Amino acid sequence: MRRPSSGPRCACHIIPPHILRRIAEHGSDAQRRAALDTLGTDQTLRLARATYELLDAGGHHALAVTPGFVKQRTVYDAHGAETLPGRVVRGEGADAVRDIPVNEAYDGLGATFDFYAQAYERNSIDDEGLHLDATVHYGSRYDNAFWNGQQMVFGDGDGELFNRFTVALDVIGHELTHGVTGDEAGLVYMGQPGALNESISDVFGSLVKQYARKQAAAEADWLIGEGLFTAKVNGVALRSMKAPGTAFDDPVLGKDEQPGSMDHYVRTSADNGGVHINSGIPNRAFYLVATALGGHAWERAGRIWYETVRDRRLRKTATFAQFARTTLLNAEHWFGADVRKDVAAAWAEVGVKVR
Amino acid sequence: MASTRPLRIALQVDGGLASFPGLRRPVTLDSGNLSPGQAAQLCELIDRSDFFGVSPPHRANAPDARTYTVEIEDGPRRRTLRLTEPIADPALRQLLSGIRSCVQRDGKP
Repeated sequence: MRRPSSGPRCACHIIPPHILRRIAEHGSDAQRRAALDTLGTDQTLRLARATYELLDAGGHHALAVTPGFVKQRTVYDAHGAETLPGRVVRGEGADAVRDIPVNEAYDGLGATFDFYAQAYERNSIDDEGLHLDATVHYGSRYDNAFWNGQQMVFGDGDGELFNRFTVALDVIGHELTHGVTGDEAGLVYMGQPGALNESISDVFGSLVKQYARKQAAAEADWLIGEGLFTAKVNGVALRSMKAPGTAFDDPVLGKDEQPGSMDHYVRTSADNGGVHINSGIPNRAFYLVATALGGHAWERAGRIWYETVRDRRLRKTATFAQFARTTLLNAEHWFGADVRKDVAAAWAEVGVKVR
Repeated sequence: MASTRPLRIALQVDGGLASFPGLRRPVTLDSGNLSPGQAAQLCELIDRSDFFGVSPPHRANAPDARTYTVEIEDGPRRRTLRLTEPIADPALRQLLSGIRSCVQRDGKP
């Protein structure tokens, strides 16, 4: 849930809420009071509610029964129909089944949940523990995957151009991140805010994959959807964040038309105003920041982007320049002036002028 | 079985998980180039979906969902509908599936 304060988090919130709750539960009286005070300064409804629960119930007894971050996944099978959600084929904690897409969806939902929980202390898509649902085998030879506002939907692919859409972990992370963005920034799915919406999904989709592989920024492939194409397609992935416009060049699919800088920004009415096209520009900006900072991309570059998505100053109709400015503010707040310079340099490199 | 009559159908697919310029190109079907069985089936699906009378479907705002722009000329009647996934109306869903199936059988993208 989006925090209502207008500025970035105060430094005291570097201690994650779940740690504070643990202190409140297990610490000494003085520690408990301090933890409760800190929790009380955060204005989110979630933390306010937790604080009131603590105070009302006299402290740790309430916390002992408050659920923590608990994954609750359900995978459904549409059996080739286009009706949702289908029949339940694997619930939380159930053993793997024989059907590979079911297990890939289950594991992908889990990896994304774990990533957000462990990297950013986020409790599922809505930060309120939303249950994660996915439907596999949607439609016949269906060449797509999407988030419908409530759940994930995966097609099997036609086998000619596309393999099954559960095969790529970053695609699962991408789709679930649409849920996060919808819950936080609510970026309009059109034009530049739409391209930012898409880029944010690519950023965190890639980070879900990097986190699962424990890769540093320099080791990552920065590809989105590797493995989705069949061998008949001349391409490596849906998109390249490192080198937008180079992911595929195929007689049937056409050529990847993503620009990597504002010099080649594409003005079009197709694709909701080019949301999957111009997303190459902020994608490359993120790649440049992550590789300039080095180490694990989710720790600093990802944190800056995550806090930007949560920042109330970011409007639903944000342009690239407005988004970039908010990343600079969060970079400085979280990591200081030097990191802000690295972020500014990345946006300058892709031609986004920040006023 | 609905009667077979001259039909011209144009289909354009937009959106989806990625932008593929090759798949965005509109494809057309002409009943003259279809088998009698295919043409009859499409006529039946058009009638069953009430394509020329149905209210335009609500467009759900689902990121990465695809939008299908379907234009049908059926004798003097002509109409364009934009259908965004997931398509709630089962008859429109079947019509789209029938159109796509004919396109795929033609070997076109």
